[in-house]
Amino acid sequence: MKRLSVGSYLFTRIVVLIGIFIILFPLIWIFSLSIRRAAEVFEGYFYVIPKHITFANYPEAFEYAKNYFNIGFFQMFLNSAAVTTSTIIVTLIISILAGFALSHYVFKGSNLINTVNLASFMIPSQALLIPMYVFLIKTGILNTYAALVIPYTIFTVPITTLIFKNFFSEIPQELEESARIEGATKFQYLLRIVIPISKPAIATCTIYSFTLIWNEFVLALTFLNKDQLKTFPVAVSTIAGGQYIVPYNILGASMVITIIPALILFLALQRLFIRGITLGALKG
Amino acid sequence: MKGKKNSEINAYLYLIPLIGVFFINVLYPMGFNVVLSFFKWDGFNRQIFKTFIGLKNYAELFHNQYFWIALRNTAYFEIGCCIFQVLFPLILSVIIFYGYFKLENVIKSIFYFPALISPVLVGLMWRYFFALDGPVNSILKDLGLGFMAIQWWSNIYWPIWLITFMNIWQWTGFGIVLFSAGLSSINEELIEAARIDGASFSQYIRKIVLPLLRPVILLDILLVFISGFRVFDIVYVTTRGGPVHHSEVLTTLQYYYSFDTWGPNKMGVGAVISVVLLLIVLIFSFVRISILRGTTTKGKT
Amino acid sequence: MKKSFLMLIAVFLCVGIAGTAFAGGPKEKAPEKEKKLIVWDWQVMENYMAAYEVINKMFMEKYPDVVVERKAIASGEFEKQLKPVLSSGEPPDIFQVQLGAQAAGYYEAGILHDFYPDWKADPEWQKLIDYKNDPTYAGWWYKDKLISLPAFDEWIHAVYYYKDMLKKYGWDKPPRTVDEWIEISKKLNNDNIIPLMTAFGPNSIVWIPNELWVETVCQKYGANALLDIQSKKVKWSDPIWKEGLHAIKRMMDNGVFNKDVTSAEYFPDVMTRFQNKQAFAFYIAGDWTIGSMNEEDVKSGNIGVTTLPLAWKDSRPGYGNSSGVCYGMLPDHPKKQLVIDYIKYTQSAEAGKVWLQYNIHPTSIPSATLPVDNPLMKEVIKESTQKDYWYTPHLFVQDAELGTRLVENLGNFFLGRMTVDELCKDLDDFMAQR
Repeated sequence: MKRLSVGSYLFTRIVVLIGIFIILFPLIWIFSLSIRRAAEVFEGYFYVIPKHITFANYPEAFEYAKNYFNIGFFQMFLNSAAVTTSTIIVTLIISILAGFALSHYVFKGSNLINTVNLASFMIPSQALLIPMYVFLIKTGILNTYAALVIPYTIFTVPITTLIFKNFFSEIPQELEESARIEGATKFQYLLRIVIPISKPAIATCTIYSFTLIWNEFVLALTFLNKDQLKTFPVAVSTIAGGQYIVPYNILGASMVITIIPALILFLALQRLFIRGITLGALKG
Repeated sequence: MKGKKNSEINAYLYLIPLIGVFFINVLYPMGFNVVLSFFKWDGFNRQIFKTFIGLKNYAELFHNQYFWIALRNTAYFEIGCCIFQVLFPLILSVIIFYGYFKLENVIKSIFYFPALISPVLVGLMWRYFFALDGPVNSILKDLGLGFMAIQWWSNIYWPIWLITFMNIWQWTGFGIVLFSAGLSSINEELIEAARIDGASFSQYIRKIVLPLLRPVILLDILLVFISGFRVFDIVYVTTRGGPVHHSEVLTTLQYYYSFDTWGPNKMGVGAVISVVLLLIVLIFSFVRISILRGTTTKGKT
Repeated sequence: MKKSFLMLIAVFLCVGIAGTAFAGGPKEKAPEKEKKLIVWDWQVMENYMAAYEVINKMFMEKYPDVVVERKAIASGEFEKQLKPVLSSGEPPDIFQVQLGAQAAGYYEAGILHDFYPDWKADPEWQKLIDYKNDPTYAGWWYKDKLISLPAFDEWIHAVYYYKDMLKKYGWDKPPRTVDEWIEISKKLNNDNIIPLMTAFGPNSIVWIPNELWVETVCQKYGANALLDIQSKKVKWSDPIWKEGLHAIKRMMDNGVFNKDVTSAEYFPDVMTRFQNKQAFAFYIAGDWTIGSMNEEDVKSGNIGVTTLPLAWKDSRPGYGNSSGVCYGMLPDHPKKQLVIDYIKYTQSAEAGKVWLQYNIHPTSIPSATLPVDNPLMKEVIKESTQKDYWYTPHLFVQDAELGTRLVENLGNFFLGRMTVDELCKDLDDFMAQR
């Protein structure tokens, strides 16, 4: 199987090309929208090549957000970043500890915790909305970043715990043995040896959490409703789902802007991400 | 040499944060929802648990034809996604992996890219695509298939399938990355052994690769199934559950009952839907545990 | 010992890092003023945003110790943000409410103040607006209580059309009867132009189908059509109601409405298409949209106003009205007087000038004598104040469940899943149980 026959070669190329086309065509269209003039939103050669190109939509998108939400573009970005970073840090801490426990200890109830862990991932945002809101109000945490971090953990931690658990259980016993011989406690073993070699898993969990949180909409809308605290997707979603004229070209620009951070993060951590899934998911 | 008792305590200590997360994000909200499902609350009254009405919310929900439609739609969505969000990535990842592509990583990244986009944006994008005078219809007309250029979103039957398609579109790349990882961990020697034995490619795939990939496939199905219940943004943004509730899924129906300005404003009924979702989760977990008990797996989930 | 110590540090780190997340959010830098008035509404259109800014500034100049904080949230998101804050939080001082079931529901939930006593005791206010006798405000009374304040504008429901398109097809007057609309639609559809664009989609499913039907019935029955049917004086299966719906069906079957009837969203699909001249006419539940139409067409008088298609030979033309932006307030709110001062200001003549400037149709008594520059606004006012025309604010069902039932049935009707007879019978059965 070192070389492909002509038939196989053609077949594989065609299938992949069709797949790529289906994936890319809508995205190219969004980009094309973002560089169109407002009046030409419905027109275009093959729908994708704009009749006139303009990049004015991008600054306009920022203006638009400012007018509708009394919030500067930078502030919005900062809010999204703060919430996402906090959530990722908290998530990593919680799931590394939990994953370590589930993989390196034998104890009663580990199966229960595993099942419960996965089951709790099924919670849809709506189920959390009212109870969490009441809780956040009563403890005064509403309209702070923590108001989102707390509920977001239930979206990220179940899967990241699973990933770390699987990843950790692949670590060869000898490492632990040698650590023990050197007189290290299990916790030191965790800190000094396990975590440093877990970079792929950490990268995977970071990317996974990031994409989930960055694009989260329902909770962000309700729990951070002070104008200055709004996150990115809330702005774009509200523009788009708004009651009034949807400026498709500005919407396109907003979409492109929203995608860029996620894209950058992914490109940077891409290799680690793939390795992480490799090692973390196999024994799932 | 630590004593066994000591070890157990340590394990529990490590798990405290996780359990904390579970308490505040699962137990408390679910308990709240269960209790609320027996009350009538419109969301305005400062006293939430003022009007107890017993099972009236349940009766109202189960008598509503749109609840059963939502249930059916959720099932369609789940089935569609579980099949194709596993099948397509599987086929594609095998083709990519064994196809000697020079730009393999680039291809995988391209496929994965939609997963980075907010579902809201994905929904809007495809909503435009399937609009009456949108690209899809225009292409169909140009191909002479004008009779197929219907009003996709005004239809009673199509929207849920379009939504399923959109979800598959967005998440296929994730499955490809997952399966590629699985494929790359297959021992090189097995490939050699198969070649030496003179096995054809399809035999190789069927007899060696697929069985080895089984855990990953099952994991993918699990992930797809679980995330299926949480779908909301995509449906909300394309059809809002319409037309006239014919494309509702459970989460959007709950939103309609609890939060929609033009909805009944019955938080109690919304809570009932949460309870229904909880029951489905419980049943599924129970089934899964039973299956796992029946198979001999060492140290696996 | 060492191990538990390390554990403790770990936990501390956990809590500490999580704690920094608590400190999130920039602090508000607003100076502490004596009185703050928080206003929430969903008038996010550009002209309203601009107009409010001017008016609020003027108000704050007049009352220097007051800060008006207005928050505009798109209507789809509005209640999502309002509800939590009303049930436990710092609610706004006044919030916009929707005529009909929503306002009635809010009142029953105990969150709306009855303004009648306050208005009755305030002669100055009575000179600005006659809530009691002016038929414009009749729709705002619920169980003899004035539960919401039509603030400063009113919204006439009308069909807007392009005059140049009309001329192109050789018509010098807009189509009036159903038959005329069907006739012109044939030509328009041939050229791929939507004759009468209107939205029946999820967002607007509360208003448009209802109003289309009610306003058609009013042509024959009179202004109190919806009022009487809710008080059970008439049945849904009454011939007038059925004939009205049949007329709509006839128009639907003959291509008068846009084909995408059940999924068109109000503004995104409908307004954009009208603006792009993909539609000849546009049925809109309010002249507040004038601010969003093409400026050149508006200024050059290219857009005309007419009534909904007349369904009977002896139909009386007329217009529905939904009384503009309406604010509600929590009962016996401590800032009541401030609220009233603010509302009265928005109804003053100087405010009226600003509203008009931004193409908003002011409705207070002093505003009625202000000069109107905008040709389209002028035409709307002229059309809707014609003698012999019926004129009604009763366009919304006040029983929430009936409202939902009605809207769902109409939706299914437009999807072709319900006939006229089935629909009317279902509504009658439903009402018999209430």
